[in-house]
Amino acid sequence: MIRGLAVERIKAKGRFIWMPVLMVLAVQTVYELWALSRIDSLDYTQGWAYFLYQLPLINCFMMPITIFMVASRLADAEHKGETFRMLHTLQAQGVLFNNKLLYGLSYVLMLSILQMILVIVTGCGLGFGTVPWVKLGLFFVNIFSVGSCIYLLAQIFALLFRNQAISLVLGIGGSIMGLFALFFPVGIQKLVIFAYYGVLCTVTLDWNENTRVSIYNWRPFDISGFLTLAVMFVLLYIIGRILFARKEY
Amino acid sequence: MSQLMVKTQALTKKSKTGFRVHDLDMAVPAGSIYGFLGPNGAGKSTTLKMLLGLVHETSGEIEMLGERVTKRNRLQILSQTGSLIESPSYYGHLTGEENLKIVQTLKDVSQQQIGEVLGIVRLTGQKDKKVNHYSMGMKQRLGLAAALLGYPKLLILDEPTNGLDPGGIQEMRELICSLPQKYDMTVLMSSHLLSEIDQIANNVGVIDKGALVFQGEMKALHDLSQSYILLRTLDNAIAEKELRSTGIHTKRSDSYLRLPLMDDQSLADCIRRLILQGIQIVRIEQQSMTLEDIFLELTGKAVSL
Repeated sequence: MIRGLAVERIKAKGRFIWMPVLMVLAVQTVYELWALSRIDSLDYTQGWAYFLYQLPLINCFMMPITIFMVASRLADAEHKGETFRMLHTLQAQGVLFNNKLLYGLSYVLMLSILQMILVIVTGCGLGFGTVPWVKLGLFFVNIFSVGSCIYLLAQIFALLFRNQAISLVLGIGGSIMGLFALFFPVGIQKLVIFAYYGVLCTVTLDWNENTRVSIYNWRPFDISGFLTLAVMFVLLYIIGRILFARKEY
Repeated sequence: MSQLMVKTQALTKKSKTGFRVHDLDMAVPAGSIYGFLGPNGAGKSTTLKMLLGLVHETSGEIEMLGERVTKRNRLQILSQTGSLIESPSYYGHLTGEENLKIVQTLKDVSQQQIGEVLGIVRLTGQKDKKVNHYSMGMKQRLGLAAALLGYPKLLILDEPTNGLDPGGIQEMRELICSLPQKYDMTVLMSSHLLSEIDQIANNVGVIDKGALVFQGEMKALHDLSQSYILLRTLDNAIAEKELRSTGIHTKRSDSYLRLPLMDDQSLADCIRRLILQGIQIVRIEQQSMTLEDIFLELTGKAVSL
């Protein structure tokens, strides 16, 4: 496996795979700083909750397209160079699928860690008070698990279809679906992978129409939602791996 | 019979439109350069892809390096082979050396071999150049270098001279010819160019419409190019009847009768007999079947030179 990952690392050289990752973080940082400049003192006292409510919503919109871009760039080099038929004689299709998945997930992990660092540094810098480590841990579980599931879906499409425009369209579609699914009941949200950033969010917003005051409340982590996502991941993995292994060149 | 590096039995690939390869029994002797010849669309690439597991066979068996290929041992057997199928596979954004590094890592062979194979295909000076900037010939040579990594016992090349200029074609041919002697390899290469196979191969298999129509040593194919006699008379039908009555088998060929080669005395006797029967002879020619004629006869299709 280490050999396979080393090979994936060589292949990714010069492809600027980290570019969409850094771009989305930069956009999120700018947005958060802009939003923070507009919050009042009440919001300020519940800064951590504010952050952990806002970021999953932004992730719903920005992460699918970013993750689809990463998967697409990693697969595109193989399609362009007609390399699958060479690789197929050197390693099992399933192993290649796994190596690509693990290597791609390393970017999702990097993105999740950087987003955590962004939250912690900003929150501590602005004096939000005691760091809610457990809530932050659950936030990390949220972004990494949902990101992984979306990456798996993106990889399946990127590997199966030579035309990477399909991945791009799906990424954009996923972003839109993820955001709009949040307007529907939780039962429907749980059918859409892209909406799980919202499903697994540990903060709810109570907005009073009369006073126009926003109160952020903590809520328990949705374990059943997390388990449903895990089942989706396993099913997608099995289906994707079988489809890729059956492909002829 | 010498040891076989590749042996297929009733290998078949069926698609929705019909058979792409049908009951193919291929036998590639060890140490040979086996030319797999056939017109475009005859099933050459499909056959080679089936050997490598890139296309799944509908039925039949494949034996490579003395072992029956199964899903379980496919990669272990392929680790002793090298291949270049259709156009070369490469990562254009990486250098030639980095491309070989990927194959070297996956084949788990020494890093030193990268330099060696680059030398063999004469790409040492270009190893730090991005492959996107390589010419078609250089990409093809890089593909061959990747196939040579690990010095495999069997090299499978699908139309390796496709897209090369005349200089590149000659260079590639010389390189392929040198491999069995220098590195003890068996080469199985496909081509639709009869002259190419004639120059490089010592064994040949001719495929047409998915079926093998000839297989054997190149010499055996040349032996088929026997000479024959063409005879033209003013009444070929009566002449044919007369010749058959004397036990000479003839074949009609346009306005000629085709007779087997015979010594001068026998031919003189034939002519005298026909003249005595009042048949007027207007042409007698001796001709030889070229390899092209043989190919045409085997496949019924014209072949590229």
